[in-house]
Amino acid sequence: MPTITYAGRITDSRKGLPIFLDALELLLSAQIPRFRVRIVGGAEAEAGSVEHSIHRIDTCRRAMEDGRIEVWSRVERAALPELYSRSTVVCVPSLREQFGMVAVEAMMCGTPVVASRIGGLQDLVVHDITGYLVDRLNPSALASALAQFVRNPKLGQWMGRNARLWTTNRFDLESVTDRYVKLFENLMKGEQSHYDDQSGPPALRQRMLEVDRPIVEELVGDPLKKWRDVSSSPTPSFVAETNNSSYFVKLHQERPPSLNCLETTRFTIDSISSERIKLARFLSTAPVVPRVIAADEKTGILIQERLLEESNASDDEAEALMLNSSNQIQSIITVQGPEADEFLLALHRVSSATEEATAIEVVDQAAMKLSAALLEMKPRLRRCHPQIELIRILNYLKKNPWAVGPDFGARVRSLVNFLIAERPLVCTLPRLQHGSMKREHLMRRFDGTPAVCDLDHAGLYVGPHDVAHWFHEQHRHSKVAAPYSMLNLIHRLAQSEEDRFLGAIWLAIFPIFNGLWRFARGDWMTRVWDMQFLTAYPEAFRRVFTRSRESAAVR
Amino acid sequence: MRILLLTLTDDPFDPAGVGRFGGSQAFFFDLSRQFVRIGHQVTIVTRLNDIAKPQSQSLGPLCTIYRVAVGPPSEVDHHSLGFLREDLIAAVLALPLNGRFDILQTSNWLSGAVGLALVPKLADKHVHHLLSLGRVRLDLGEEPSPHDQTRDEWECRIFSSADALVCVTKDEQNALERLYPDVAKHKVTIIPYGIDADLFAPRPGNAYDYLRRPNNRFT
Repeated sequence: MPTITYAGRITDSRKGLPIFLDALELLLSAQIPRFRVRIVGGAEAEAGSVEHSIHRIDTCRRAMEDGRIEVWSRVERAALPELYSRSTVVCVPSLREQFGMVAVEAMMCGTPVVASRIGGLQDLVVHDITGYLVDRLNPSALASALAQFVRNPKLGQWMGRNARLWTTNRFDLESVTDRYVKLFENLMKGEQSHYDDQSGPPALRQRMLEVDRPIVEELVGDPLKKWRDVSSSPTPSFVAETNNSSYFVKLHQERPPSLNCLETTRFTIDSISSERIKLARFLSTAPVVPRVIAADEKTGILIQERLLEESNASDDEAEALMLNSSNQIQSIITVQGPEADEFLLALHRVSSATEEATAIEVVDQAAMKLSAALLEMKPRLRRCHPQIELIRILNYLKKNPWAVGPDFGARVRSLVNFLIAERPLVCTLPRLQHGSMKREHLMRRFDGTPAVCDLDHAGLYVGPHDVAHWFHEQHRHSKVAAPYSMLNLIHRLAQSEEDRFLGAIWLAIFPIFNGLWRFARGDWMTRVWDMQFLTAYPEAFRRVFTRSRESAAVR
Repeated sequence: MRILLLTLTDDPFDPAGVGRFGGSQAFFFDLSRQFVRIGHQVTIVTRLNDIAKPQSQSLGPLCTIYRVAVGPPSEVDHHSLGFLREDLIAAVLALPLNGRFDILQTSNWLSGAVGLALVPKLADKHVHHLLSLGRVRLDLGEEPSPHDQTRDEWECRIFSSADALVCVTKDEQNALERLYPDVAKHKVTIIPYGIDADLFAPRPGNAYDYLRRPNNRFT
């Protein structure tokens, strides 16, 4: 059973135990798998007073009677590693924290940490990689982040491995003492000491490559001379050079996809990184996709030809390159066969399904089988049809109303309901697409031919996913959200009326899903852009599609 | 090296996780032990906060701890102890410290304030470990205390006089430089708290794997 542990001073209000108890109340009422909680610390009388507080909360009292909440008083320090190692996640909900020993101790034991985004904790926990940093004084944010570990044990395992890697050699007593001794010696010699620590993610990525370096060298058949971190996503990526050549090196991680952390599903796979390598190989038949030079499925290391950034293309040229790349990828396979028929059948069945959960599951299964058959990948849960994603979002909000900010949640519900009511489910086949099409992914080879990188999200999508993603990426950082302009751009490039509609749905899904995912990781600040987008979208949609219908009628 | 560790508000032997005792106690305990392991001589001075504790204790040939009996022998709000500074200085100077130290390391503002008076007489260099910052507390909107003014004045003096200031994280360094703009940046360094990696390592889930645990090897 997943175990959430709180360790530390329990009567010091700065440590945030009351916030943790509020979060527990939310989690115990939520539709998530059963979990256990251990609260450790304090003298016996202090622990008794915490038990008393827990008894005042109905859900917590029941969980305690059920043996799922245990309150221990202080334990010997030597027992702490045993506790941390047997925890899925350790929670540090402090209101103020200069450092956060518990966070480091837990990470050294290979256990991820959910901590407040405050003080020194921000330098100890690498957000999204060794745990989550959540808004201070916000039980919903804390509960959302903790819920992910309860839903998906693989998240804790992946983050735990990173946590161990991050803390080893950085926080161990021997190296810290060496730094003190060096400081003292320098002072005695009249010199100053200055340590400039590399911040979290780059330092951790560097460590990951150092650990994997022997395998990378074996794969390229040469020792690495130097390397440069070029990561633009959570997957560490490097340009590495040997005496003879240079390569693009990607260290795929066993990080569960975000969808698998937002809902409990039986459709997970053992190794996501090996699947990504298989996919990279499969796609490389398209001229625009980088050549795979070597790979190790077991560790997730992928070595590809090195590409150059495409920085000189004008907006029009970039758009043409994007369309060409997307079309090339699409042409790798023809979506047909018994699994394709089954997928269409599933969509038809869903049109008449009354249970949302059943509808989603039916299509998910059919999409998985189709992907498995055509892309030679193991079946796993992934997004495929935008209208099904709308139902999934609505379902998530229904099951977890506490897991998003109320203003954002209300807007999303309103927009999703609007879009669901707009048209019946489009029963059409998906096509193979890049999945994360954006300007930064357009590259060129040394001979000048175009290429496109980062195909980890490639897969079968219904409607023009790539086009919608392209325009969403172009506008998501602008000061003002302009859904009308974005919908018009999709309208211009989409091939059919059906594609225009599906592209419009994908366009709505990206910011909604990003928002849900942000809340789920404890970042509770609603973005003005998101609210502007969600508010202006229905009117923009009506204007674009009414005009479209009118011009079709005139023709 | 001879190191004098002045930690008047935190006895390294107090149990972390109870009352107000936290990780810093555990760290100063571990750090002192590690200094000794690599051959440095460490003298720890703290304030007696429990009558049952010994006032001096030899912890082996290279380490001694003194607990000076100044103020009530019980746990009190350590921020209220500023008025005891002169008594604490006198009590430390009266200890049988056997000569000068290379380094005086202080932690928390009260130790730093006492350390300022001790440096010329007892040690060559003064390293101050911030432990916490008064202005950060107020910056986060915590309730003001009548001792804030005294603490603030002493913190400014310590930051100006100490030879080196140790922050435990980048965030603490940023807070120091933002809230105390007069601090000389070249004095500031970041050294995190260190943790015993032999003790804090992943443990096998299965109790029968006991023999494989790294800290049970006879090395």
